[in-house]
Amino acid sequence: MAGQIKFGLAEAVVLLALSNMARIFMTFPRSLVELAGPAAWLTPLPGLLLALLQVFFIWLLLKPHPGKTIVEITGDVLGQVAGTLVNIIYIVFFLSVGITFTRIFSEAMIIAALPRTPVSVISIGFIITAMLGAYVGVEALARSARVTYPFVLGGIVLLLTSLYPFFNINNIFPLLGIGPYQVFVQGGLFTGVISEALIAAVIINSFASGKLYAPAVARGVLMGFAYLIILELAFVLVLHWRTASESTLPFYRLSSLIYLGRFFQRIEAIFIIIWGYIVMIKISITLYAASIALAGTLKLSDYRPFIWPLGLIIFIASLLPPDMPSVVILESEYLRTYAWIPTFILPMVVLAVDRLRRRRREQ
Amino acid sequence: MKTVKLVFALAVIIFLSGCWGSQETDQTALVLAMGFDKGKNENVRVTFQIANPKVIAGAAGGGGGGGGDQEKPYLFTTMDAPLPVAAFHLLNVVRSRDISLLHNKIFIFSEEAAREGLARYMQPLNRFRETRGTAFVFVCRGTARDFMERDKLELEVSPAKHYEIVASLTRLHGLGPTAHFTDFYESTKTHSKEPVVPLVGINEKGLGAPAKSQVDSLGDYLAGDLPASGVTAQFLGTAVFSGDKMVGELTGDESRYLLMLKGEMQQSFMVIDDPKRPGHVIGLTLRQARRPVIKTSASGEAPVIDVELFQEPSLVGVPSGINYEDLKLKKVLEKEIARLITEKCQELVSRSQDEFRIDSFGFGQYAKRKYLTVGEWDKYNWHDKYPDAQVNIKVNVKIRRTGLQLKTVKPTM
Repeated sequence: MAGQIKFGLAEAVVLLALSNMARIFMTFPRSLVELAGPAAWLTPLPGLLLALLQVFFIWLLLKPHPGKTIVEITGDVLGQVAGTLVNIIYIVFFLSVGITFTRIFSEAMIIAALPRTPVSVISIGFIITAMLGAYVGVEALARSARVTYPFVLGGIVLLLTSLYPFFNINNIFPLLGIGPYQVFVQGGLFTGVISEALIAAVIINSFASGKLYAPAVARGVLMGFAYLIILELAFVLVLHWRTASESTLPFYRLSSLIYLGRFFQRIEAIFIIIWGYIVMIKISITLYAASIALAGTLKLSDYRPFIWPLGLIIFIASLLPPDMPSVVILESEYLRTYAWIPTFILPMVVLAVDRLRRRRREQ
Repeated sequence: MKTVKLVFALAVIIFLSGCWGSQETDQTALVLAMGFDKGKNENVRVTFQIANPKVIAGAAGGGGGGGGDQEKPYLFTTMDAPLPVAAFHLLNVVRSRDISLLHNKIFIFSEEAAREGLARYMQPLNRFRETRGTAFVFVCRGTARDFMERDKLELEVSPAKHYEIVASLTRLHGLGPTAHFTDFYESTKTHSKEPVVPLVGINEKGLGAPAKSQVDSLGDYLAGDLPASGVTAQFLGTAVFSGDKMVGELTGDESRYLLMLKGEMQQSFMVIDDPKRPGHVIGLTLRQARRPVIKTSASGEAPVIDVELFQEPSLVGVPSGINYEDLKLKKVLEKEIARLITEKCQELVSRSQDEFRIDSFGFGQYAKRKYLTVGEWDKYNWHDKYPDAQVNIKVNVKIRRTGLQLKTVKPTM
């Protein structure tokens, strides 16, 4: 199985951080502003705690089963029928993430850069790249993420530095935005649901050591949330929340606002490349995770035969939503709500059953 | 396997090359400035100033060009349409090239359109992907079309460059604000600050326009009223908005105080009456030492706003020959400058409260800091409370430099 190829902590952290960051470059920051107003940048704080909690529980589940992925553990603990059902839910979740990211980012590319290109053509571009990424394996994705990370970081630093003259500190007031419930409870639930803890649990055998799970995922999540907080804060500082909540692509708008004299403007094209890269990583890793999970569920040694059919499913399903607002609602209102089931509730159930059985066995 | 990889790589290159969206430069016409007037039958009248590549290519290269002596580096087309973007698309019917707004840096709205409300113009433009948020916005006394056609670009070939530089010159004179499209659009949607836009106009009377007689009224004109020869277009003063509707005009001098109170005045020139020899004048260059300190108490029916300004003027001209470089006399002058700025700022604030009834200074942005949630802030209703606010202004003036002269010696008789 291609998953035998290993990579280290740095690659794992960067891969998971970039995967987590992908949402920042879509409509997600706008949704946070709509939810919490000027306090949108505070919503990831409770979300981070919830995300770390997910990592902690999945780590508790993985710890007693060294060398096994969450798919294998679920099968072992819940039995063939229930285990397969739960694993299928994981796979559907990965595919759903891939589908929504493919469609939203394809639409984003049309809005920002390729207005006359059919959405299907852009989606095909993303899917082919994602399939290629998944085919060459997670090691290639992780190493390419590690190599490219300085450019991503450089782009973000450039964005923040160039936007500094446009920051208006008054924009973050009233400090609690729409209200504490929206900021800390709804915002926490909205930002806290992440796919990376589950993805890492599926690809754990590609890590140099199973012990890397907790440090790699926790650091990746911390990095992803740090970027989210910083960039969301920049978004709110530059645009008043009422205007910010109108923006389809917050960071495209921000980068197009950069104006440092007559000779330093119109640099949004640079950022489109960076976002494109991050989203390709995201779609590739979810397609890879879905393929690996399916191979694991069916107890097959190679995941690669599944790349083509699953990629095709992502491509076709991504074209099903009738329009951009529909897919944004699908992502923000349905996927983010129900994502708690595969990312939190099901691993908790598996953990509880596993613990119970162990205790019984010990007694 | 190599073949598969090659096919994948080729597919990526083909599908990501953006063939559908490609625009050849020799098939594209670049709009450099847009003007908006009221059209017939509820339409908007949009004037496009389009780069003429035949002439611009020659001018940029320093000679030649295929345009001939008579052709200008830009062309005008005016269209009536229900929406600005619709006019833009209709333009493709009139001009032989694919029209692009990607290089448009200027939006000029007529005063008539501005007084009716600019939302119908701004909303579609804000949605349109080719609109640049950094484009400059002006309000024109008279029609935008007339202004654009009569504004002679004597120092520049490109109108975009011309307007862009003119807009940035406020950092030197401080007699008008700068407004980018996104700033303006944003201000129309917030409750804590109202938009202000630079005013432009055509000077019809040249030097025959009436000049002001008061010594402290250097820039006390609206665009188009300043007596000047040669150049007909003037960029002076401010259009004041309540939401998307223009509600008044500020002269150049008032604009200076507006910028001071907003903390956006970088430099300006000012002439005051000589405190030691009335009838004589003193010329000063004003510079903002630091941003204003604004404190608000916005809990009762009438908010209290304390504004502290910090100005560092430099002496430019003292025709009376009095030695204001002397430390004691310098203090006298500083006191007089502070008194005058306080008085003028107070007058402007009173005008904003009594006449316009809006907070163009953005004091509301500071007042909302006292509130924890948007709901509480909205409930306070700053827009209604501001006209009754008590605004206390304190001006700190420190003359730091006296130019190339450290002392003025009386001339011998």
